Amino acid sequence: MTELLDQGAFLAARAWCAEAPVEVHEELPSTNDRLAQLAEEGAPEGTLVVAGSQTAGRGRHGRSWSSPEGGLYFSFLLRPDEAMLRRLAPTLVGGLAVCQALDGFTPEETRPQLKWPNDVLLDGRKVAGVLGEMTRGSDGYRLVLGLGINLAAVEFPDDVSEIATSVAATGACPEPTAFLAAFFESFTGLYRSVERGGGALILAQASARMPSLGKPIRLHLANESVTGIFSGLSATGGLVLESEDGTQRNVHLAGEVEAVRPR
Amino acid sequence: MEHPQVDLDHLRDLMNLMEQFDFDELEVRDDAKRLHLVRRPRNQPQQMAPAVVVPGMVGAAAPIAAAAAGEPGAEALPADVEVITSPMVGTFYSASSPDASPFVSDGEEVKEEQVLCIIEAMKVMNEIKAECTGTVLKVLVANGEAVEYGEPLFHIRRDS
Repeated sequence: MTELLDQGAFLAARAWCAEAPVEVHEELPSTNDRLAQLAEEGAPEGTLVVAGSQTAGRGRHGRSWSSPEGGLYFSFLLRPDEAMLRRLAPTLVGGLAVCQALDGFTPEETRPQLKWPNDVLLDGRKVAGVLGEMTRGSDGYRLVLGLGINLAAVEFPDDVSEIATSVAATGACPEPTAFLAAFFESFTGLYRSVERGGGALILAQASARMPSLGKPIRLHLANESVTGIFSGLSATGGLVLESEDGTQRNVHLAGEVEAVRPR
Repeated sequence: MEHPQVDLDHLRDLMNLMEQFDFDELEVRDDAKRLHLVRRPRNQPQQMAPAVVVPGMVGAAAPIAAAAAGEPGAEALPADVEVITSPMVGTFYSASSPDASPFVSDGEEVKEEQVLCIIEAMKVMNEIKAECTGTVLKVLVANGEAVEYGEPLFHIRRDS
């Protein structure tokens, strides 16, 4: 893991916001927490925190995110203005950027896919996740975008071994810095495009990687589940759920998608 | 009454009408469609507002801006009570995880900048903080409920 700890290599790999600092740690409780602290101290957009493993990685609702060695865990800082917050969600852009970056490494027949809104799947199993945490300070909005991706072969805990996979399982094994370089090349292009109002094109690219689009799904919300057809994405990337008789459409901004068999 | 179409000309007309007659909120609905517009002062921010692109979209249709503080139809609140409203559409969480105790409860004292709740939209967890030091009079939304722009979340009595 010497390469992982080479801060210079990560600085070069980022190719975005060249003036912003990069911190590389062998192990951290959570890259999101560390970056939130740096953001509070005034860190500029693009500040990057990388870790080889996390002891307290998080998913939604305080669920733990298994972060063993062999994965790559990083968080970077966005300082979106209000106009940007009304556009396509940066978490979805992040998920798509992971897919595009993986395209360069994984075999052609293993096309990375997205589970709405931003889980990245290889062969139907989760390989990467994105979690955003936002606060508003006197310096404006701080959005910490955290990503975890299983690059090398990792030993998963029993409870996720059936649903998780690694990039290495496809036969590819990109170096962390090589993956990060590809990710930031992709993310920067997409994010700038969203800034210029090009969200629709990116939505189309993301849609093309969502296998459950157009199909019946069950969406697990916080207190209930709803079913319908996943009929499309809204401008911010929300899930448009159409009732089976086609008379109602609702946009959801949160929830867990489960594929169901058509009746 | 003409049914709402989610097209830009129609929206623009409705928005102009709201401006002209100083409406804070407007809802037009029929069996299949519901168009709900809410207006608020320009100096208040909003986050993650979904714009309308899906033709005929219902539900979260056409949010223009979040409402000013104040629950429509509610009795007038004392001058020292602040209404914390949702700056965005999303899911309201009263705690950091399903097992954790709530960030705040009725009657609890809070400090400025203290986290009151999280609103999730597109896997972004947005921390909503107290804007003043005071006492939570009422938590107005239950854990896991969907909230709209400008929806009142908390009543907080400012410390004098």
